[in-house]
Amino acid sequence: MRTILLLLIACSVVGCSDKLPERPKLCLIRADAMGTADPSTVTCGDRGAISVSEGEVFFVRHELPSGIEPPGPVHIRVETACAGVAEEYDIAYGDGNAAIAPRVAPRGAGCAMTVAATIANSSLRETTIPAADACAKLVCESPEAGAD
Amino acid sequence: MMLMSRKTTLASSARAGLTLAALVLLVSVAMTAAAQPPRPQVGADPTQPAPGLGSASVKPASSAPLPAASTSAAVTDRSANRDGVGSHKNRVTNLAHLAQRVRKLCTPLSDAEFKEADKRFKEAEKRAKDRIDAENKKKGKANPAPPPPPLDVKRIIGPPAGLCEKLCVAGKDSFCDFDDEAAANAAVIADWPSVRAIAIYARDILRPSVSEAAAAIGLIGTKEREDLGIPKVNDVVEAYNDADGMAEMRESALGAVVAGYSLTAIEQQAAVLGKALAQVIVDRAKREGVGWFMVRLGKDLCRFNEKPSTIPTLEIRTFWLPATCALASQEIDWLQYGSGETQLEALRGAIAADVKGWAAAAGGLALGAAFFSDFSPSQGSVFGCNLAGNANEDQCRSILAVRKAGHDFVADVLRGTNGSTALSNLSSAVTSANRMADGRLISLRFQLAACAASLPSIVTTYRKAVTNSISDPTLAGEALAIGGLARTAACTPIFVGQVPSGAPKGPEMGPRLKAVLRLRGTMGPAIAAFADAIDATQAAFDAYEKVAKESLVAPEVPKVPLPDLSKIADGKSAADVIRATQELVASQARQAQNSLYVRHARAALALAHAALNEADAALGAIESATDPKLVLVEIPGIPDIREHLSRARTTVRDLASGLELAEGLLASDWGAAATRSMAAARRATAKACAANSQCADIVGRLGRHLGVLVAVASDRDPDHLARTIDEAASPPGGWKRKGVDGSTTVSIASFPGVAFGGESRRGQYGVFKERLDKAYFMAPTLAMPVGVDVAWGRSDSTSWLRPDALFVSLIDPLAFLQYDASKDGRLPGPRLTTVLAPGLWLRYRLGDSPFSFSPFVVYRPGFRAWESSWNGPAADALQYGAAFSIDVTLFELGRREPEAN
Repeated sequence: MRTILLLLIACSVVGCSDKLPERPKLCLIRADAMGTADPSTVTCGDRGAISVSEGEVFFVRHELPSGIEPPGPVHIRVETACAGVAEEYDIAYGDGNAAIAPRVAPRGAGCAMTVAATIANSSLRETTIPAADACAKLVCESPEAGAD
Repeated sequence: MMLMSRKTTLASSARAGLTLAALVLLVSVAMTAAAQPPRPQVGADPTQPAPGLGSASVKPASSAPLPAASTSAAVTDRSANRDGVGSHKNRVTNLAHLAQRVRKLCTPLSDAEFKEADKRFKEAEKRAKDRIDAENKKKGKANPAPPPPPLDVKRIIGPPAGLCEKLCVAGKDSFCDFDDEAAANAAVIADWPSVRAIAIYARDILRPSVSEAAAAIGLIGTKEREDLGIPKVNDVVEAYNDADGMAEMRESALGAVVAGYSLTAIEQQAAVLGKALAQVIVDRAKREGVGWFMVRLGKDLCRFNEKPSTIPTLEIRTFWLPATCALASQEIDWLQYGSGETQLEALRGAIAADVKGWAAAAGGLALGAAFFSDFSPSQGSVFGCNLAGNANEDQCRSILAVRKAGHDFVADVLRGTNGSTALSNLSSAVTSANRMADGRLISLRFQLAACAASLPSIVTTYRKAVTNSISDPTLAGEALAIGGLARTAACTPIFVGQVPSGAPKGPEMGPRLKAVLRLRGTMGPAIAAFADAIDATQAAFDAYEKVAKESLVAPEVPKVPLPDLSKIADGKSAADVIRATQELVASQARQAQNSLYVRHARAALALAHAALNEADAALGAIESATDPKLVLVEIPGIPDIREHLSRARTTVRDLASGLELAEGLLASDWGAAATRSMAAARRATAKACAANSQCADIVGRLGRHLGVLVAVASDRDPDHLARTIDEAASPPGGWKRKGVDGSTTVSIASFPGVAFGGESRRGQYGVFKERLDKAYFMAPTLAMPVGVDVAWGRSDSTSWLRPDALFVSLIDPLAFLQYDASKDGRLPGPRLTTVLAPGLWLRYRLGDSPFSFSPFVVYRPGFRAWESSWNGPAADALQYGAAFSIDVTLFELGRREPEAN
């Protein structure tokens, strides 16, 4: 008994396991990749980073581990090179413990766009891959802004 | 008026014609005494003629009034019997005078003296005859007065037959030896009936001589009597008067005017006040606690379920908690007294009565144990006598009687009984118990102590009387000591010997008087210390008497002004005011009564102390005797009592120590008194249980509950009482009791301290799903687990690996402070289950301290919650690590004491 306890103490200090708990997942899915499938059935899986262009539609998907009771909607914050925080919004979870929402890529998203999802003790970020020379041609001001 | 009274008294006594002659003589003597200064004190030169026959104021018998007084103190002060001091003085004076006169009568006259006396008598006779003849001629009477009969000089002035050979034989136990004041005092104290019997014998022997003398003197006439001047005649008459006076003295009790004041009346009054107080006691909500406490008390102390009852249980039930254990005959009965106020009052009253008696119980135990040791038992202890059907039934009867005597002595003094009387009662009880079936003494040491203990009562009774007749305090002390030693039942076996039954009669000197003569002059120089002790006792007695008389008068209770109720509009407030006023009145009355009680009991205690000192000094005086063998009557097998005297003095001093135990009670310092009693009992138990381990648990069991018993006994405030019982459940120092080697203690305890280690989680923590397979660091944090602690005592031989206790934690009120080091120190979101902390802790005490180091495993269900909620999602936490904590025992559930060795 005493030995077991000592082992447990030692484990607590050095860590008996480096296994992480099941964590939420965040992914961005291009609309064209979705095809005609029901968006709610397309999971993040092992999807990697995507590339989007300004004005293009994409899906933000946040998945909770199975069995996790959502403590509330997930908070999404979108940042681009042009606008800093381009937009913020919450997405409620639906079936399958997934929060999913289609969005239009904001200005500057072609160069880079970061989507951050925050809920409880989870804070995940997903960044798009810049398209070729998109950043070089980046024009942040809107046409109306120059007319003023 | 007084004269008439005495006249009537004497006239009504049945006396024969012979008495008439004596009366004539007494008349003449009385008339003389009326004109004379008071008779010299005893001890005056007996060779000098006492005023009386030789006086010029003697009148002829025919013209004299009936006797009123005599030169003899006995006759003079017959009415003084009402006054104990005067009565004793008269007895002593008469005895000493009678002894002096008899001695003188028995001293033969020389031929020259006899011739001279004969010549004078002849001359007086001739003159008387001439006078009568002359008167007859002068008056010319038809019937002339007869001439005086011839006087038998030898018969008148010589000792009557049967006097000297019986009362005054040199070298033998001689009545004449009572001619000194100390011996006379001692003899009167020791055996007045024997003295009186001898006086009656002497009177009867002297009566014919007195008759002769009276006839002669009555006829001789005044002038001739003046010329007679023969001391021997005076001696005969005086001796007769002394003897007659002693014979006529009534038996009267001396002293004992204030022999005993009991506090019974006071206690009854206090009980009424206590009841009044109880009526205003508000009912308490802690009834369950009281019930629990009573059950626990019954279980551990009275042990009704123990069959057969062991020695410690019987001892506790019989001597230490008789009232408390009498409240019930089985554990459940403790709850039959209702609840709240009634239960508290019944409990408190019983415990108070018992704790108050602990000093007496300890005193009795010490005495009983010492007495037991004098039996030289090969095995067993004084406690063995508690068991029914003990093999040594006779011994046990004696031992229990001595225990009871010691108990009663201390209890009597605490009740305010005259200390010397209480000591005398103790002496009587010990004397009765200190006999084997064949009549032999069991313990000479105890008999000596009992003898010494009987003296203060005698001294208190006779001191004033003796010092009234003896001015030298040392001599007075010797008289009192010898008188007591020869008189009391406790001293008789040692200093007197066998005393024949029946009233003394005749001239044979009884053994008590012989003892007085034997003891006279044998006391060593320590008799002076005894005399001093007597003075101290007297001073204590005077103080006691004063206080005792005052305590018989009801104390004046201070008046409490009633508040103006008309100014109180609220009915509820008015009721409160009235109740508060009643409480105040009751409280003040109780205080006034208590003040009286304390003063009375203190005086009694001081007197008892002084009396014990006196007893000790008496033993010291005997110890310092020039020849102890002279002191003692022959006791087979005991050549020298010095060793026994020394041990007897120790016993007497132990009794004084027993009284000291009680002193705290008078100062309402119950704790001190009970603690001292326990200490005394522990000493007695240690000795008594040296050969028998079965009794070793007696003091231990009482001691475990000492604090709460004392607190309950001394607390009359119901709120305090309830609090006390609560505190009994959470005794500080519980950790110490847990450490007693061989004991097992089960308690509800808390171990606040710092815990650290690791933590694994299972379930939802925030939006993570924990699966118990990740160990998080549990940073040092405060913890206060509460649960059931099972502790074992530890000894030097116990392996260091063996834990001192197993603690099963149930909750942890400080769990909310268990921050999550892996999540920026986030505190657990409070929820219903956060406080739960079931776990196992192996406690290792850090030395002899309440601190312990405890490896632990705790499973906290739903502990790690991200947000506060009633029952929102949360992960269970399995914590493991170690804690440094302090033992706070909240509630002792049970305990097994170490096995007695």
